[in-house]
Amino acid sequence: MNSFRRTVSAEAMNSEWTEIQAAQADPAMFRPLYNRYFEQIFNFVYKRTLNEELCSDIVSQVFLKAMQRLDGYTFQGVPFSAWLYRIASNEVAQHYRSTQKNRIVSIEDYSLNSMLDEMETDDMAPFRSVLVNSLDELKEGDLEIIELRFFEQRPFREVANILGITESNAKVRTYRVLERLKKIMLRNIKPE
Amino acid sequence: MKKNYDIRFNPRRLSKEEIARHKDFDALLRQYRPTPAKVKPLYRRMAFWVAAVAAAAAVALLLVYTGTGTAVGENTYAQRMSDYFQQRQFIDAPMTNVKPTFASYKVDVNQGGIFEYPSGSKLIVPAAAFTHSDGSPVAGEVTIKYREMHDFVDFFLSGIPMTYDSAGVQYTLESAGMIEIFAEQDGRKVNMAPNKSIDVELVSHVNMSPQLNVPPGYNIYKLDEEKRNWVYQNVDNMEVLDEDRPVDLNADKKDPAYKVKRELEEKLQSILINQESEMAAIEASFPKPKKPIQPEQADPNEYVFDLDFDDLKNPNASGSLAKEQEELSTMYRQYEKMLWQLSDDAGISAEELRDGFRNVSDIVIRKLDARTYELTLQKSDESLIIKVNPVLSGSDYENAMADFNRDFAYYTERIQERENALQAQKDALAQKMAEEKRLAQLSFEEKIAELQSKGHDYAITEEIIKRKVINRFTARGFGIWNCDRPIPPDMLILTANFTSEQGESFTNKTAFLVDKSRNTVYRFLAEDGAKLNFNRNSQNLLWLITDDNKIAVFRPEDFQGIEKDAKNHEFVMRTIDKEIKEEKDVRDVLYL
Repeated sequence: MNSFRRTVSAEAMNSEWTEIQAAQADPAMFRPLYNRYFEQIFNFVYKRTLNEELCSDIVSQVFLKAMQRLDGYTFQGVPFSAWLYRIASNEVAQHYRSTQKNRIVSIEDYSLNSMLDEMETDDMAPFRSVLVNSLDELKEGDLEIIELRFFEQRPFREVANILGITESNAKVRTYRVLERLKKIMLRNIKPE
Repeated sequence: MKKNYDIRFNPRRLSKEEIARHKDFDALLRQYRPTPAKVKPLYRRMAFWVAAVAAAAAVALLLVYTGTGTAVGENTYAQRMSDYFQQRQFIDAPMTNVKPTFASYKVDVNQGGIFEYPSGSKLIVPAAAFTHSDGSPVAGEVTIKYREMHDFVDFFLSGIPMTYDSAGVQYTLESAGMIEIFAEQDGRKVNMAPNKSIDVELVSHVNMSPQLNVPPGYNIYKLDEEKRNWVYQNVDNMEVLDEDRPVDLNADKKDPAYKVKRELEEKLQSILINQESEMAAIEASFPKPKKPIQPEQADPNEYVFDLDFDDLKNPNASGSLAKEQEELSTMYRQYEKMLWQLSDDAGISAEELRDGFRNVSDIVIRKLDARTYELTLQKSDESLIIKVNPVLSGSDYENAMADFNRDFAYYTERIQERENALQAQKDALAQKMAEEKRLAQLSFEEKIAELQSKGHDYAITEEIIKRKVINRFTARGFGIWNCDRPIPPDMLILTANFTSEQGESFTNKTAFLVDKSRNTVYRFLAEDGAKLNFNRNSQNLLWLITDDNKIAVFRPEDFQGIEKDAKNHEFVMRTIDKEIKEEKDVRDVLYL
C-alpha cells in the first residue's frame, strides 16, 4: 500500500514535553502547541462533520478542554497529538449523540481501493457499493479503526496512540474488523 | 433500511487559508477558565477531611522518624544518618577492591561515530565534541569510557547514592538503567564541547506490572557531585522492546508455589544480566574495529537523482543530527558527484518519487544506518518519507572501491585476531552460565518438593515482571546519568539493631536494603536504634560489609520471621564466608 507515513521523533516528543510542562504552569504557554496542532485537528474534525462552522466550534471545544485538563496530562511516551485526537474524537461523538444525526464518514476513492487490497479480495473490487453498505453495519468503534487506518492512511503506531492501545493490539483489532467486514459483505452480496 | 452513518465520497478539502481563518488562540485564551473544583456532597467532603487528617498524621509521623521535619530538636536518627553520610565520600564505593569495568571506544574527533555496547545500547557521538580544560578544541583521537549499571548489585558496588532530595523530602530513585561516561586523551580527561551532546540509547529492563502496556513515567537525572544531589534533566523517552512478550495475566498469587516460581524467574533474570555484563566486559577488553562501508555504484537502470546540499535543511541540527550534516558535507566534498537512489525497501516507485518532488516545501534527511538515509519531502500538510542510498559513479566509484578494498583487508585481519583472542573466554562464560541455570533449576525443584512435603504459609508478593526497554536521552555532559523515578519511602518502620551470629553488634556502618520489586538499593546507617522502612509484602534483602571485607546478609526468608506487629527487631546478620575479589563474588552472595 502506498501511504504517507507520519512520524514524531523522540527528540521532538521530549522537547514537546517541555512545552507541555510550561503550559501546565501558564496557560498562555499553550500557544505553540495550539499553533502546531490546530490544522491537523481541524482536518480531523472536518472530515467527520463536513461543516466548516460546526467544525470550528468543535475544534475550539477540543482545545479548550485540552487546556483545562492539561494539569492531569502526563507524558506516556506517545505524541501529544494523540491525546488531542482522543479529545477530538470524543467531542465529535458527543455532538452526534446530542443531535441524534448520523455521523459523517468521509471516504476518498483511493482509500477504498487500498482497503480492498488489504482484505485480499481482488474479486470483490466490483462490489464497492456492497462494501459501503457493509461499512454501515459496523459498530462505531470498528468503523473508527477502519477510518483511521484506511480512510486517513495512518500508520498502526499512530492509530494505536490515538485509540490508547498498543501497536500490536491495533493491528489485531484492524484485521479482526476486516474479517467481520468481509463476512458482512459476503452476506450482503448473496442473491436474494 | 435505516442508515447508521452518512457516508460521503471525495468531499471537498479545505485549504490551509480556509482553516487558518478559524485559528485564534487569543480568543481561546479569553474563554479559558481553570476547571473549578467539583462541589461534592457533604458526606464526600467529610470523607475527604478525614482522609486528609489521616494523611497529614502519617506524613508527620514520617517526618519525625526520618528527621526531614524542622520541629524536631533532638539529634534524631535521620540527623545522625545525614551527618554520617555527609562525612563520607559522596560516591562511596563499599568494596574498593572490586573495580568497575569500562568499555573503551576510540573516536576520531573529526568524524565522531556511533558505538554499540554489547547490551545493544548505542552512543552517538558528534564530530568536534570535545574541548580541553582551557576550552580549546581537542584534535586527533579521544577515548570514550563507558559503563552501564542495571541492577542493585551494580548500584551497590558503584557507591552512587540512589536518593533524591526534592523540596526537603528524600525519595529513593528506582532505576531503569544508569550509565557513567567520560572521555580522555593521553590519559587526561577532556570535556564535552559547549552546545555538543551525545545521544544515548540505553537498553535495559524495568520492573512493571504485567497489566501495564506503557511503563510508568521515568525521568533522566544527572549526578551533581559538587552539590551532592541528582539534577532532573528531562523525561525519559522509554520504549518497551518486548511488546509481544507473552504475559501470564492469570498468574495465581495464591498458588503456594507462586513465590518459588518468581524466585526462579528472578534468578534466571539475574543470570542473564550477569551474562550480559560479563560478555560486555569480554567484548570491551578488545575493542571491535570499525567495519568499512562498501560504496554503492549507481544502477544505470534505476532512477538516480541529485540533491543540492544547500537544500538539505535541518533547523534543529544538534547532537547526532549535526553529525549527519557533517558526514554529508564530507561526502559531498570528497566526490565529484554525489548521487542518490531509492533503497530496495523504499516502498514507492520512481514515478511516485518524481511526483513526490513536485511542490515540495522542504527536504529533511536523516541517517538510518551506514548506507541508508531517510528523506522526508515535506509538503503543505503532509510529508512523504522514503529510504534512499548514496551512490557513486565513474571515477568516484573506482576510487572509493580502492579505498574500501584496502580498509576491508585490514578490518578482516583485525576481526580474526579479535575472535581468536576472545573465543576461549566466551566459551568458558557460556559453560559457566549454563551450569548456573542448571543449579537454579535444581534449587527450584528442591523447593517445590519441600513445599509439597510441608504445606504452605507464604506471604503474597506483588506481581512484577521485567520488560526490556530502550531509554533514549541526550547527555549534555560527561558524568553519571540515570533513567529513573523517585519513589517515596515505605511506611512500615521498625526500630532496628544489627548483630552478627556471634552476638557482636554492627554499628556505625553503611548498610544496604533492597526491595526486589524495585530496581534500586537503599543505603542507611546501621546502628542500635536505626529506623528502617520496608515493605513487608516484598522480597527484602539487607546486608553490610564486615571489617574483614566479607558480606553479612539478612535474607528474604529471614524477613518472613519478623513478627507482623513488631515495632523493634534485632537483625541477626549471617556472614558469608567467601572472599570478595570481583563483581561475580558479590552476585554469588547476594543472588543466592
